Amino acid sequence: MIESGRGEASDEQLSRLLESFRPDLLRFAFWLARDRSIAEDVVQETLLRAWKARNELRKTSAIRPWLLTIVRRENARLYERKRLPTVDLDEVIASQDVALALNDTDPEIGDLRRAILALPDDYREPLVLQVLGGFSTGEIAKELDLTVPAVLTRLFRARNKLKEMYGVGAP
Amino acid sequence: MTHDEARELIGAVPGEASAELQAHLKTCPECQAYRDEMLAFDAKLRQAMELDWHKIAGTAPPGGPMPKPLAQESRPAPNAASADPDAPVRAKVTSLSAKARAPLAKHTRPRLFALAASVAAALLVGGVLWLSRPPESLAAEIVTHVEGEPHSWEKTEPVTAEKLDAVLRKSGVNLGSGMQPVVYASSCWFKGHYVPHVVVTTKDGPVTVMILLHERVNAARQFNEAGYSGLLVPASTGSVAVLSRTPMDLDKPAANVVHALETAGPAPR
Repeated sequence: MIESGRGEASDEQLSRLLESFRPDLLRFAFWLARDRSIAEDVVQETLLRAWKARNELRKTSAIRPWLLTIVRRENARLYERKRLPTVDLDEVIASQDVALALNDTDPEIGDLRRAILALPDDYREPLVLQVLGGFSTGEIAKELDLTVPAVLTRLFRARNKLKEMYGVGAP
Repeated sequence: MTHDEARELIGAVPGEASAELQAHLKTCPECQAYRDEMLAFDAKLRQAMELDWHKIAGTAPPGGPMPKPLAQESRPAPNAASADPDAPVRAKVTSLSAKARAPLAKHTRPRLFALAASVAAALLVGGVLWLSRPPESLAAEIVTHVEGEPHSWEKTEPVTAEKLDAVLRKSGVNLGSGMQPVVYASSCWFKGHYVPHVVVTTKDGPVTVMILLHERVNAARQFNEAGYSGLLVPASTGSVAVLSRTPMDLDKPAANVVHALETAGPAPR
């Protein structure tokens, strides 16, 4: 059972804690899957798996990276093993619900969101892990089964591509 | 280190600078300018990724189709707030997209649904409790976070100006020169945002400061939680939390930080 630093967390406390991460996990899953419904499914499955495996978690401070790792693996499982059709990016961006979320009072942010969605998976995934997930390059390398130099290269190229698409221009 | 090597490192991890890179930056204004540009770009990138999920979720059709076995096992809870986590309540189950429905359908065995029902019930009850939590829970979350970094209290050597600057800039915070000496500085993920978590030394002992740009409080509030004394005060943007492990007057360190935030203005983007 989890130790929060103040003794063991009860199941009720843990369920509250897990639920509190849902918006965070949904955002993360959305940027990976680029599909709202799949993101919701992935997060639902993630929370179920986390609940079943709660004894593996030692400290509540480690819960966020643990959950994000499950989200990433669930998403990969859905796409790789179940062979889901590739997301049609134009469809995603054009769908009304996603369009609403991509828009922002700052139009530059909306443009940047669309640029992130257009990034190839190989670049988008490490970038999301780093920027939104807070993973270090070493952790990303382990998670994606890459070398650290390969991760650094992908992150560098991801930012360059984004800057090109976003209109800032390559450095 | 060559310019190309420096730029690849900066472009990959703008918020970090090894000793070798720092040495290069001191002698290369072009690469320093590139780093400043990338840090500003990264702030926008973080802002862009912080989607307001409710804007998406809010447009979803109300209550998607519930898988039959779960629907049969579920019924409304008489009192969700006080219900046992394992009590049968109507679980929130998201509808499966057309793309995902077929592959996931293979998982829909009764045993899984039984498990899903009890877990989802627990999560739903937890969610209700979470949403109805009192504002005081912010203090508890701050304490829980600080408890996760016990080493922060043991630091005695001042952090470098570069380190502190990087931590503050990551969250868009500018303190000018208004908070010294800082012996610990970390950019921490807290309630959906990166926030500066620093420890400053005072004559009464170390004090933890968390600058919470996204958490508003209406008035200053003292709290005592798990052996920590704390003070949460409103700031021009968001709020500031200060904590100590021993009872002490936290008004002054809190006021110093609030004053520094107000006089320094917004961080350059």
